[in-house]
Amino acid sequence: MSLFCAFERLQKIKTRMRTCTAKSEHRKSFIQKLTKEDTWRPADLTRHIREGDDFDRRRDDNERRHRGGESVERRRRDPEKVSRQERDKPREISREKRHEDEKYRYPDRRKEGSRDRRGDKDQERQDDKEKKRERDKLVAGKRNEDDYKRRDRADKQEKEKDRERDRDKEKDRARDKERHNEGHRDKRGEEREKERRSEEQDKEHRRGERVRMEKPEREKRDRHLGRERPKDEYRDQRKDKERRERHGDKKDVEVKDERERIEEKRRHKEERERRHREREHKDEKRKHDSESRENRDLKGTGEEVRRHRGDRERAERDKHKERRKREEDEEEEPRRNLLTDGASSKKPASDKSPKQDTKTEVATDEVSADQEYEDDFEEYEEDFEEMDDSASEREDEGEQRHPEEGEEREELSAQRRKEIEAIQRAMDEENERVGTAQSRQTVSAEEEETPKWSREKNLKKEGGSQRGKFIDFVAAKQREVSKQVSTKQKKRSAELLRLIDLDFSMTVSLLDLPAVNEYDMYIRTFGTANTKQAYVQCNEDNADRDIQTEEIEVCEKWTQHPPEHKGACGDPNLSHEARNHGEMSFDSQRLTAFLRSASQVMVILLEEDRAERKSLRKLSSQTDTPSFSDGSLQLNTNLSFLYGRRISLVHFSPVQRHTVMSVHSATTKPSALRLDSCTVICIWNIWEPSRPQKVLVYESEVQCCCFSPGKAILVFAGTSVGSVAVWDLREHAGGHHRLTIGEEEWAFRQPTFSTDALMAGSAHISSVTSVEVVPSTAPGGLRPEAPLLASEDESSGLSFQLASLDEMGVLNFWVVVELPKANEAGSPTDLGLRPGGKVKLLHSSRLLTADRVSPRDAAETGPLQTLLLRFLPTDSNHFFIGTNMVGCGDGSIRLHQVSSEHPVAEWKNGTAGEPVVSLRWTRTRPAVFCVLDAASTLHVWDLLKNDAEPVVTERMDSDRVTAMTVFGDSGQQNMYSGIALAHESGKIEMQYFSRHFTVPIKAEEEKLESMMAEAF
Amino acid sequence: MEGSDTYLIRPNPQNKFKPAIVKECIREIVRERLSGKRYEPEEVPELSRSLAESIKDRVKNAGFDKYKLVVQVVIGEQRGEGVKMSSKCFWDADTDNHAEDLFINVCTFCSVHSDYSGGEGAKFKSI
Repeated sequence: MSLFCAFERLQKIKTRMRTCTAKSEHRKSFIQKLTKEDTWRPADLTRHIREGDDFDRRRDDNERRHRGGESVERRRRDPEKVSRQERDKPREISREKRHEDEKYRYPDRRKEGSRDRRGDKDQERQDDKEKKRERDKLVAGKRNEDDYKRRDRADKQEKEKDRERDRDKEKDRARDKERHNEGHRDKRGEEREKERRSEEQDKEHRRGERVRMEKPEREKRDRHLGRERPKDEYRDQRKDKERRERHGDKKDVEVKDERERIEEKRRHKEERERRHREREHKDEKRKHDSESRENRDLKGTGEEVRRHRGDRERAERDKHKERRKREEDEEEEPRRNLLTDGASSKKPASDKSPKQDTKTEVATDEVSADQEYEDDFEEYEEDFEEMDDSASEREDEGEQRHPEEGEEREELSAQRRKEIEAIQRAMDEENERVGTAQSRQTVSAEEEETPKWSREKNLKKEGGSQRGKFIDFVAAKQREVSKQVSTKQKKRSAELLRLIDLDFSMTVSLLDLPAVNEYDMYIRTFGTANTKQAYVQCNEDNADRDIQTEEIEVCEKWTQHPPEHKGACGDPNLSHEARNHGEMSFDSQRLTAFLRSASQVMVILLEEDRAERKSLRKLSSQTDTPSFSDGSLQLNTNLSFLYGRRISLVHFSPVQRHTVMSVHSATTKPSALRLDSCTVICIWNIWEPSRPQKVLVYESEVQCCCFSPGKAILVFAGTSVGSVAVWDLREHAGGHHRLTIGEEEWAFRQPTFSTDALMAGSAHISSVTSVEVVPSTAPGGLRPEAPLLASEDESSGLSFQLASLDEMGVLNFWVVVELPKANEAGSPTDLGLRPGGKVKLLHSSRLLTADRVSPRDAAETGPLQTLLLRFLPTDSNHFFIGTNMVGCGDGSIRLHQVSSEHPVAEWKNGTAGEPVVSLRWTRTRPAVFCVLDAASTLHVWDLLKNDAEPVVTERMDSDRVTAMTVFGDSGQQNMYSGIALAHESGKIEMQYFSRHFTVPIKAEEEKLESMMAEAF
Repeated sequence: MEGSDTYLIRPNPQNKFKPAIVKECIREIVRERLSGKRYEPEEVPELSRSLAESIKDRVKNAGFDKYKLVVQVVIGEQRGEGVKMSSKCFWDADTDNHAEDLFINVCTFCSVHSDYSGGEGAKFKSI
């Protein structure tokens, strides 16, 4: 709803209200007049009936007079002008009394008003005919009852809305009206009849009168209805309010605020009244003027008036028809009225009619009490709006009542009817007369007083309205005032609007409340009360995060224990395998090398430990230790395959001083082993005496043997059958014949190369007596360099020469050749080579040394036996061949110098005549040598101490010594020297020389020098 | 009388309608009167009338001379229906103004108040 619209409407309504009030006041006065006339008639009638016919004349006169006066008087309202007729006096008195009452009971006037009204009604009724009174009472009582009932109901429903109440009331009213109409139907019919009759009598007069009666009212209504509906609405509201007030008045219990309102209302009323009176006074003055003027006009413009009247009459005729029609229609249905008198004009009236019925009733009561004019005036002012509408009906009612009475009269006393008719006629005449006179007056008055605009607009109607106007100066004044105000406002607005720009403001959105959606509705209805969905979870926080780790690498590896050929572990991946293979091979080589050395060390340590214990034990038990000895060590020859064998040779490696080789000759004793016929050579480490490192076997008897130079990896042996055999100690034990003797497994190695049956022409045909390695031919080669050479040789492929000497003096030179690759299948060319062997001997040269032997010697000693071959260490081209001459069989010991033919010294009886078996210089002391004779006596000579006889002579009787050799190491840190004695029983005893035989003395060489010098 | 009228078209600046102040008035009254109330169909007409009356009185006392005030109070029940209210006025944009406030109760109660200065020129002085 637009506020502005509402506001505007409000304004409009207000202004209209103002005009309305003015108009309605005007109308009201007119109505009063009308009703008075109407009500007068019955009253007069009754009086007339009572008093008789002769009273008629007088009364008429009186009435005429009175009416004329009264109309004037009423307008003036002068209290002084009480010049009333006698008949009127009681009324007058009552009115005065009322005035007094009013003065005294002013605050309660309102309430009393209604009561008084009723009281007046009663009074008036008392004046009336009994029957009529009775009936009136009856009707009124009934109505009052209805009224009360309705009021009670209204009281109950007071809290209800106005509209509802209105509706109810309307219903009630409609019912009432229906009843009323029904009640009146017959009467109306009669009335019509009467009318007809009266019409016949004085048609013209009656019509004129009625026209006069009706026309102003009608005109007014028309004018009124010409306005818009809003007025009516407003009026409705007003009416409602008033009705409510009235109800409130009639109620015994008054609501407080209502009372206040009433007070207020009253105040307003007073004010209005006062104003009204003032205005009336003014009007009166004006009226006087106008009257005089009218009178003048009457005379002057009599024709004009007549013309007016003619017009009026013509119009009246039409109106009359309409009215009758309407009356008929009213009986049927209020709504039908729309058709009759123009929809717009008729409708409000017809709508109002139900409501107005009640009003009219009250109004008629009021009107009937003609003496309470003042009161009525106030009352009317209060209900001014109703009046205009109700007026018509009142008129009707008046008319209705009039015939009603007549009817009654007919019923009661038909004879009087004529009289009544006559009276009526007279009354009508009189009324007409009065009306015309007044109308004449008012026409002129109105023409002066009515506002211009109304006159302009409704010139035609003006003529008809004079009857209402002629008493209403207040309204005119008001109208004028309001008109002035409105024009002023108009002017103001016109001026202001030039200055002020009015525009439509922006549309302001006051509230935009969206409809609740379905979900909220659901929650509201089915969820908890007064809860609201505030948040919705839409899975936003349910984020997905994933972590990816690197895949686990998987690879297969395998391992095996014990490791087979290549390695102990690997995996199916080839590259890995190859790499691992390389690593493993490398590792295994290193490992084996390490293990070999480490195991040796470990074994040595263990052996030492054991030997120490043994030696200690022996020391404690054995007392017959040689005097020169510092301690002894026994090689464990107590082995099954060595059992019963005689040790023929004991030989030390010249480089590896701890390696010793013992040659065990074949035994004759039968044994379980098939090695009986074989010569067994054992390679020992003196630090590891518990068992031989390697065991070599050969079928024939080994006469001599020697180690390869440098490292002792090759063993050469010369046999009695004239063959030379070579053993390669590096060969794996797996390739040889193995025997498990006792708990231990022994590998008996066959010679890698043997010259048996080879080179028959060049080979020895006699037993080889000596085998010696030809020293390397390095010209300045010194002894200390020998290990270096050997190592070099070893690394360079073992290229050295071997010399072998047999008994016949044949000296063969062999070249030791190491094959780069072993041939497991055996060599087709080298027959002497063992399959898988890598070392072979190549015959290089042959030398006959026996030829050189002087015949003198040969003759002397018989066949010369070459026994020993020694190379000079410094020059390989020189070699000695020992003959049986040197080691004298007679036991003498001679010291020879190489450069001289004669011995340097010769000791006889050194061995007590026993042949010398072996004679060795000790390794550490040049002046000490050991001599073993055949009687198993060991002589130790120390030329520094005693150059005539041996220092120590030791005789070993219990176990004969079959072989002897010396050993020792002249190294600075660990200087040791000793003699190895091979006993007959097969024992090998290592005797360490005591310190004085071991530690070299400076004087020794000088001694030898001196001896040599002595000798020459 | 004719043509000699002088009009006071504009209000004094200090008397000008200030929506902020009026809004505060409205808010205060409305909060005071409506907080915690439930919608009672019987009470609401009287309530809205009295609210409008009190707001009008308050604003009248706020010193906006020569203003005509129109107060409109609408109280409705919150039942899920969509409500759209707007207002429009034919006025002088220089002088006239409006203030509105909205009070929404959690429980089924909604009330809107708007306050307008006179739709008519509203300030004049005729001699």
